[in-house]
Amino acid sequence: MQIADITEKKIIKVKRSLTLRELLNLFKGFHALPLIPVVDDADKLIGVVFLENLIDLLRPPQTKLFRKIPFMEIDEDSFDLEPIPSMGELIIVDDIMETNFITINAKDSLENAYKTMRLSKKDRAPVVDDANRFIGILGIFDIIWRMFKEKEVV
Amino acid sequence: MKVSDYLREDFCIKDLKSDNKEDAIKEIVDSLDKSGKLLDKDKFISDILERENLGSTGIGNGIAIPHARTNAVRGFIVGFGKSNPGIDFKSLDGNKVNLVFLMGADPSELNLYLRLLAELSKLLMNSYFRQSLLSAKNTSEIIEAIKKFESV
Repeated sequence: MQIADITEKKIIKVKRSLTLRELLNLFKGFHALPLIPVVDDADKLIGVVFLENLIDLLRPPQTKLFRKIPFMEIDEDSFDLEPIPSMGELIIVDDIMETNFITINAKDSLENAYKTMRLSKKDRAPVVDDANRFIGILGIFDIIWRMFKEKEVV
Repeated sequence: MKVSDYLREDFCIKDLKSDNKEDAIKEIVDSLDKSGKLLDKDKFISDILERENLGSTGIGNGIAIPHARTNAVRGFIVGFGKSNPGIDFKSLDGNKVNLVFLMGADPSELNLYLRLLAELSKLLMNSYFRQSLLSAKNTSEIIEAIKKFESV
């Protein structure tokens, strides 16, 4: 059983020049925060957007500093900083994408992929081929499900 | 963490000599050279210009915030330049830019970078703040204006 067989391939990919406004509109209606692959013109994976990062745009810069002080009570949900309209154009995918992230090679074994994701505490990871071209997203539950399937539990 | 924690008086240029976007960016980056945080000045300039090519950071109201996350910078830096005649930045509203804040950050500083970018954009929405920067007679008045409006 290879990774490529259980990788979700119908994934929305974006380019690094996409604006924040376009990105938000593209994912309107998603209930969870998806992992968004960023590819270049040759479909090579150059980054990943974690929509969690967008929360930073809603929080005042001081919060991070206070969080290091144990006795300071911080309301993590305080959205004190109101985003301004021009941020929709000022910020693009290139500004918010992570460039340091784990990938799974499509030829890798399920066991190795599982270990890599557990070690890096990620429940999803992008899958690439040998030339770093994006293939899809693998979730840790996809692997677990496949293991149950192999034991004929499902 | 505020913009004024990183912006020093000697990183501010009261009257930019440059009359175009690329030169203005180079002029501000030059002033940041003494920060000791520029690991590769030329690469930083080309990364900023590359980011501009993906989408202009001229957000209207005479403001531009050119920025880049790059390993040519250690930590986080911000510089400022003012142009009285204005510079063509291919802004969203088509108007010339008078106030340029230039930001650079190490790729690992994503949180800080996004928060300060958001904070700065919010400050610049305030027309009184923009006016204070435009009428500042020297670099110390520029820093004073930023500190004053940050505390509001």
